[in-house]
Amino acid sequence: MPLCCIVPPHMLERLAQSDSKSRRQKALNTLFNTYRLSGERTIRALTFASTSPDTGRRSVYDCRHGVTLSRAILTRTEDGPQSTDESVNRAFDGLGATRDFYRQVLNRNSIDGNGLRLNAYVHYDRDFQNAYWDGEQMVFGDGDGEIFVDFTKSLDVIGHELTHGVTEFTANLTYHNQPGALNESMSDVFGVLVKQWANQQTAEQADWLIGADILTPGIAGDALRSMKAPGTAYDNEALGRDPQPGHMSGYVQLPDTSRGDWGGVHINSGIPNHAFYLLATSLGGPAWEAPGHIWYESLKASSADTNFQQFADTTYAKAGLLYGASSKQQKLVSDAWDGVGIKVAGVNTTAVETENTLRELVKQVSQLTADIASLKAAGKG
Amino acid sequence: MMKATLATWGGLAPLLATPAVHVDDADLSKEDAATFRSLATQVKDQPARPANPRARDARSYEVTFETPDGASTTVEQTDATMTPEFADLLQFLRRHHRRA
Ligand SMILES: [Zn+2]
Repeated sequence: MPLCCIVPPHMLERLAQSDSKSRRQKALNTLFNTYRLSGERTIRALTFASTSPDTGRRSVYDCRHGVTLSRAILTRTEDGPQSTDESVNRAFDGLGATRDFYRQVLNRNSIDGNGLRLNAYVHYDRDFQNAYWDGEQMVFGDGDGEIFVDFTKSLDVIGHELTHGVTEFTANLTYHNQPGALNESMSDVFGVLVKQWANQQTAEQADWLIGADILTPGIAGDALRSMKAPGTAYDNEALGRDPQPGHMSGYVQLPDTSRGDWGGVHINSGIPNHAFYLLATSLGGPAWEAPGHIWYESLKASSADTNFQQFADTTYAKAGLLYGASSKQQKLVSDAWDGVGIKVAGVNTTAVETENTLRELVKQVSQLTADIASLKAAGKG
Repeated sequence: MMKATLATWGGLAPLLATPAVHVDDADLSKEDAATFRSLATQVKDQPARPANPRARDARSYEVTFETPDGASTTVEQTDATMTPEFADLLQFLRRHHRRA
């Protein structure tokens, strides 16, 4: 008998609505794992509905062109009215889209998994040509108007920066060399997924560009990066030429210094970026479904020093776990990494991890069975 | 007499070519030259700030001051830890480079 049927789904759903927080959470976890293991998607709505709306509350601050965040003015809050400032509203909406993506697609409650408040700062400095994550909040510049426009205009850039927070709270990939390039790649992958999900675009319909909306029309170039064709996002006098490789044969060795981009973390991210693109387009349909789930589970299973090979092996193992060993999804994960020059080696890992996860699930189900018994007893009493 | 050169790197797309900015007080009006020297003095006197290790996609800025006697001083700061005085200096340098 499949594990998902030991506790009837309607009972799990009852428990999911339970007043007891711990009982509700356990039921939700089990429902979610069941849904993941069986590949079904019908549970999503229930999980989402039961998640408190009071999580990941947003605040947007106006720096008024200063650089001291503590002097910025609170301009829009979760329950407050719209601002008259479009940058403020765009940042607010971008935070909301990213928060909703993580909640509805990946069952993650804000960037820390625990409802962390989301703060954004706009109009930072003057002519500031960047957006960054400072470890706690995200900061947007207005651009200089010659090369870049206002950075709040790019939803994938907002998703990119907030995903740096998610990575910090999960694998905490160190920001150097291959783990650093994976860190950057996670931000690009989930950044484009936020955009594709918000626009309901399939892998085939998407442009797979990062930062396409922040380059001025006068700049000959498509974007900052292309996951479809790394190395082709731009090539002109003002910007130079996109240096990203899309294959291990083009891996760029750079010094592990700030001038060397910490070993090329924004450069070599092109390799795992392209592997994700290859998987998403070979599977077809919405990239936030199987490809997004495989990558997200792999991010959570990674650690600070995970390199490309280890991450590739993990995605193969997770694909087997989520969709079955020798499934189409698992085969295409292997092919995608092959396409960027990385051979996955993970068949045995899959078996072991599957067994561990099943054991964990059995434990949760026994606990739930006990909870149901006590509920029944309480009902009779 | 003083010259300053600003180098910028890092950020969301770190290898985008960011040209260096040069400012020479000989090219400035009397008023601007005074502002330039005052900003430079403030920044040079500030203790070094360590970069924020949790910051991602932050840019780095290095200003090198040179005087006619050959002496040079370098100050480096990053987005997530920049002082307001350093930000004022960056804005001044960018504005006056463009006019030159
Ligand atoms: Zn980044």
